[in-house]
Amino acid sequence: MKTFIKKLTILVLALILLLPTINLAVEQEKYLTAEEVFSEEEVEKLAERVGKKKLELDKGISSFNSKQSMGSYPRRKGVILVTEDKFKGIIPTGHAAIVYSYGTVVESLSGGVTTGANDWYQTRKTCYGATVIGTTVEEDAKAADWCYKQIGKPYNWNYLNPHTRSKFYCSQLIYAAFLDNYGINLDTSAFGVAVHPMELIDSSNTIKIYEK
Amino acid sequence: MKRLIYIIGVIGLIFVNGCSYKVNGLKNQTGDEIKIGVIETKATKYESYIHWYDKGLNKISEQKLKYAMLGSPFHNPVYLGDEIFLIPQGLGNRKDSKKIISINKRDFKIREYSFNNIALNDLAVNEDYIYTINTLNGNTHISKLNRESQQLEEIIIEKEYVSGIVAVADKLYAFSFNMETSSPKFYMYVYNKELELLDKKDITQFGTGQYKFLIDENYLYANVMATKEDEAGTIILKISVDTNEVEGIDINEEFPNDILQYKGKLIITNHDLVMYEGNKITILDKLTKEIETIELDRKTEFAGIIDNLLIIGNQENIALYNMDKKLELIRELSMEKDDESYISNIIVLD
Repeated sequence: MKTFIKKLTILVLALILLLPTINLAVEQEKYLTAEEVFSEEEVEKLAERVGKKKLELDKGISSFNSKQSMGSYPRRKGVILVTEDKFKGIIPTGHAAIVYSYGTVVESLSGGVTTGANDWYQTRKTCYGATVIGTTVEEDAKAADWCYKQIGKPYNWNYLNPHTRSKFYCSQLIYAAFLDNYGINLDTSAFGVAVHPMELIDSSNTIKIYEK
Repeated sequence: MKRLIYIIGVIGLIFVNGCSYKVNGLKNQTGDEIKIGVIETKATKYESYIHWYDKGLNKISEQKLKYAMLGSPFHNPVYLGDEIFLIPQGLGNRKDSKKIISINKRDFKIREYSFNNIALNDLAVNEDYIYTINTLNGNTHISKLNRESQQLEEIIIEKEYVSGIVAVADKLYAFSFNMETSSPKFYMYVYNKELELLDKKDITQFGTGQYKFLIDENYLYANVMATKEDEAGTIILKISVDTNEVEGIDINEEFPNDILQYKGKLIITNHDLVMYEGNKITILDKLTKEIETIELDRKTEFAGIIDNLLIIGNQENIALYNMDKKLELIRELSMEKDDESYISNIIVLD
């Protein structure tokens, strides 16, 4: 009996510790991996196009931003942030977020949509800022509010389904905010229906306002 | 044999769960000599270094750690007794480490404390508990981990984002904002150490973005990054630990960052952490309220005080200034870091 209880204890402990990992793995295994969806060759071409895109002045010139010059780090609510840094796991190259407040961004991480510090200037090796053509500063801010309302929704491991609104991957979240609220599509023809973070900068519907 | 397997199994599980001591890579450990640590970390790899220096900025040692995004420019390390507490957030697009680490300042051993939530933003510590904050479903979760039993509990502040927390005299102060309302509202919550709400103050008139704190004998000081109009903050908060009354002190200089204290004067660095701009420090005499602003020859991103030395650091360099000799520069040093790294903060062992 004693041995049985010991074995049961170990089994329960192991299950408690491993179940979340197993669930995550099962969820991921159902779909094509990021590496399969976003081929290295195509990502490199995209990065080259984004690097060459002209830097322009942000449309939001008010309060804080009156002090900003062209190419300075963006902190206006609703500005899109993208890095092409090579992370291990999830989308192998790149990540996207939207500025929510002075010191805060909204982003979708492996645990789902959440907030983080607006510390990309220091913490990212590469960083682009973009703003959408055809929206006002107020509309950009509302897009950020929309992203904020998605906080808590899980990570979308199916990169080929950017249409769902029950879960999000990082660039899908930003894409959905502008598509659903203003009918502006930030996806390009690259990667089929999947939305890579750097497509948000490459899109003909955005202008690049910052690069590091 | 079965008994052995059982013991190994339980030890293994505890190890996997992270509540364990880990051998670190500290070389040439010399204990008391070490006074300043510079945290070099990466968002793309589980690799960080703490470069340890003596009070003259002579390199003593370095400690390699298997963490990504260890520490943050927005939140200073938390000190309690012999322990220094930091958040290793994890890779920049995951932030799923769900843990706090402590470094023992005597033997530099690391201890890990496991939490349930991803994207931990700030931490606070007292003798009994470690507190963390993160945001899920638009709500802030304040978690409380019993340091002895490892029991974890949490409370939720609905529809608000908490920028910073600090533990003072058996209380926990949490500073929040709610940007969803038509006009933003900012609050200061005060809890007892069991996380029962004691007080809630509307601090909208003063501003938001409280990330850095100084605990005096009777007062808690906090920075204000931005006003309700989304302009740069120029005030610091002075909060009575007895009554929780809040007073705003206008220092007439934008972006108060670190708040330090030396010989009855508050030393406030002025630096915009988001834009990585600002070279100034403001010196405020607590008695006469006299204010002096000094422009330094480097960005005032990180700061600390040891004896009469003011330490100022940023992504490029770190320097020592003599506070008894009108901030005479004593020594400066280029930051050591590789291409993928950034400096997340400094550690000061006084």
